Amino acid sequence: MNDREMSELTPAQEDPAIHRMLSTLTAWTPGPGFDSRVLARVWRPHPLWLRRAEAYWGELVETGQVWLIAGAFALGSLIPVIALTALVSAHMAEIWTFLDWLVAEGIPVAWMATLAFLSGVVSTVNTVASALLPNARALTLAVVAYLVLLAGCAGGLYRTMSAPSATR
Amino acid sequence: MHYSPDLSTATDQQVVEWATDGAEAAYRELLRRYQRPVFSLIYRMVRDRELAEDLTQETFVKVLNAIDRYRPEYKFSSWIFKIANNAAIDHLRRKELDTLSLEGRPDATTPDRVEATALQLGDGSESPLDELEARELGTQIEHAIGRLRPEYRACIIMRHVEGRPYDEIAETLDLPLGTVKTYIHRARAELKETLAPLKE
Repeated sequence: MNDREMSELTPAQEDPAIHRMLSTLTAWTPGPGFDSRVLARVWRPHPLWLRRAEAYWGELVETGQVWLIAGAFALGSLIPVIALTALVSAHMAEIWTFLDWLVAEGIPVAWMATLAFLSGVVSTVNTVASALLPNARALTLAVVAYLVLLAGCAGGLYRTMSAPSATR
Repeated sequence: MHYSPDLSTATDQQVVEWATDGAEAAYRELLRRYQRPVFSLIYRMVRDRELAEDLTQETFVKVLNAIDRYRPEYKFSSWIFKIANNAAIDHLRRKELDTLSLEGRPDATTPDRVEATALQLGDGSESPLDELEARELGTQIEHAIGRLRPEYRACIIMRHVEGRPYDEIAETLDLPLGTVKTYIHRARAELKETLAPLKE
């Protein structure tokens, strides 16, 4: 048998007797907690994206470009503030007029509208209740419909909360 | 970022790639795959459980801390076995411990030390009779392996216990392919001679 043929044989084919004996040997394992002891001494690299970001940041600091970017960012942040200030200054008279109207008429009108709406709701509830109370069957149906609606809401809430969260 | 859907079916290269991205699960997977073979190899070489565990730990710490320098054109198993074997051989050279005694290391002077350095045979899952026979057979085989020269021992363990191909053993042990074949051939001959009474 030449070297190439010998290399293609499996250990069991090469020498069955020796292989049979050696394959009975115990595969030893280290004691419990071995993984943790090793990992406690291993430095794990940061994720690739973080390492790239760190390298990019280092490059920016080294070349001084970081000041250019910081300046551009500061100026960029000022633009909306300046624009808003200019807008307010240009329309100061209209803004005061609007504020005067709001205090004099807008707030009282909004308050009266809210009151009108609430009294409408109370009136409607009162009308419905007056119509249903003498009719025992209609009242039962309304209560059942309300309970079904309540159970449906509770069921939907339970399903939403118990659904498995998305995992990677 | 690289996310492996199932680490247990991923190749070593894929797991290493994931580990270089800092994923702890990938480190644990490499430990899971290699702690038994690496520990078994080192334990059979130095035959002191405590020392074998220290050397195995050193091997893994060295490998995992240098994971970003791993070159994927080489087999990961070759790399880790090379470091494990070097750790064991370095220790043997330092201590000049070439032979295995199943009754404990020659420098074990107290009964506790003798017990600590004796190989523990059998995994306890067999019946008492089977266990006794397995222990007896295992003892004889371990004894025979322990009598081999360290370089023969490493070669025969990697070939017949770990089932590694010749070229990987040569790469792992930094030996020419022909030398590995010769060592394994001689190791088998010595084992047959030592274990001949078992066949009768």
